[in-house]
Amino acid sequence: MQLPPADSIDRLSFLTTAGGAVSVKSSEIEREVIGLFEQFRNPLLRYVLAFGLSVQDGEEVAQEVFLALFRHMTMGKSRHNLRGWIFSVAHNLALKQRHAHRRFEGASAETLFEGALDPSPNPEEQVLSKERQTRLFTFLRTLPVQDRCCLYLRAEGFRYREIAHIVGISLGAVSASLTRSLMRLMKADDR
Amino acid sequence: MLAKNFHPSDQDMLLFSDGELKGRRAARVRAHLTACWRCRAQRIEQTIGDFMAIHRQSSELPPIAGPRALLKARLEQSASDHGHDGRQGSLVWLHARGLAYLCALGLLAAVGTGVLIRHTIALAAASREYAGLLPNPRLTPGATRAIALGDLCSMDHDEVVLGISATLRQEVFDEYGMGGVPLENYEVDYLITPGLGGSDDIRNLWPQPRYHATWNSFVKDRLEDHLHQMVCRRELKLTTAQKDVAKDWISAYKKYFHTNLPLSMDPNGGRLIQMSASFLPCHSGSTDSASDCFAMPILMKWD
Repeated sequence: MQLPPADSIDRLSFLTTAGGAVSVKSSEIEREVIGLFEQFRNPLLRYVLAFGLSVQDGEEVAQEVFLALFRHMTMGKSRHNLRGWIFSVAHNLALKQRHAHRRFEGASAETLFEGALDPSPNPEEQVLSKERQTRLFTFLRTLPVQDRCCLYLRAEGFRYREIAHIVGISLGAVSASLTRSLMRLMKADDR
Repeated sequence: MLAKNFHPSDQDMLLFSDGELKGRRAARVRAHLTACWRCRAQRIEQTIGDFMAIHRQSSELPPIAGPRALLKARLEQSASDHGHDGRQGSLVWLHARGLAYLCALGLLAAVGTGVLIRHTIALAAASREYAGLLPNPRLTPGATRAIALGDLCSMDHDEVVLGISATLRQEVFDEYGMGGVPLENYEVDYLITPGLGGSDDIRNLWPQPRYHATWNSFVKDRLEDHLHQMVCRRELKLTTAQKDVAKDWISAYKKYFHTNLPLSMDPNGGRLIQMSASFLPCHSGSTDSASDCFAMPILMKWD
């Protein structure tokens, strides 16, 4: 039996090495994605719940986002502002999910404030804190989804330009939305 | 002093703090802040801070451990699928290489083997290409609207199709994470066309390659037109057409046109004819005729 020439063996070892390299790269990206998940899962989940999704649906959206991120990174696409990318994809998926389930606006606020933890040290402060939470909860329920999105993203530390990109509205619209929400929030808080 | 008497609006204050205020307005706010920083800005920031604190305290989210484990398993599965594709490619290559050795040893079936090798490579290439031409079923499972068959068939297929707004189109591109891709090469298309009862729901929209693939948007248009006619002639149930297209429009094309290759419009007779492979567009950016513009027997069969 004729043995294959040496260059073919070299080629075979090259293939094995290349396969190994792909595997190593893939596992590195996996670790990176898991790290980003640990960092952003909670704020992301809070954000998608603002669309009126159930916690279960919100978790599913978060999973989809990070699977998409894995594909994005595996394909060697841009890593510029990954946090913005993550929230942007989550925004679109949450919109779709919300549309699919046709839930009522404001359901998220109920979800968010259900069984809320109260860190206040004494009963009097607990009562005051509870009252304040109820006022803010009522306020959040009255906000349109877009205003709520802008407020949540701002609360998560996004800049106006990033919010505009994620929500898909103009910079002026973000500014107007946040100003409107903050004024209403302060009024609600002052009562 | 003017700076003390003038109080910027809350909007200006927020824009200024974000570095978005320019020119004279920015200068006025800056001047004001030197004298009256606490009067309004602090209040706004405090409100945001309080909201953030309550927002975080109040959100009792489920523990992260379960979702993290689930994601890890899904990522491993995804990576394994990716690796599997790579291994398949290697096996195809080795197979082709082995056949080439047999050819070199002077087997009589050299020509036939060559055709087989090319065909194998072609199938592998087609398989890769095919995968990119179908929508992601999680993002685009297809969605329909309630419409009577009579209404659907009272118009030609082209008349039923509605335009897609720029905003919605952008949402689709964002959803598919297509930042940095030349978007002019893609058409945001209905998976189930409105002519078959498809809706303009984002779950029914996806970015489809326009030019650089064999199974492009123009080919799908012909399928949609054909199915619309079949449905309206009562040769096919509307729900069957919808399901077949939503499941895999390329397979539906092959099924309803009885062909494995896209058909082309005959310039002389206006009929659809099977295209020669040599007329099929090559994969974008490739000059390697062996890998992308592979030779196939010329099929000019009249339909």
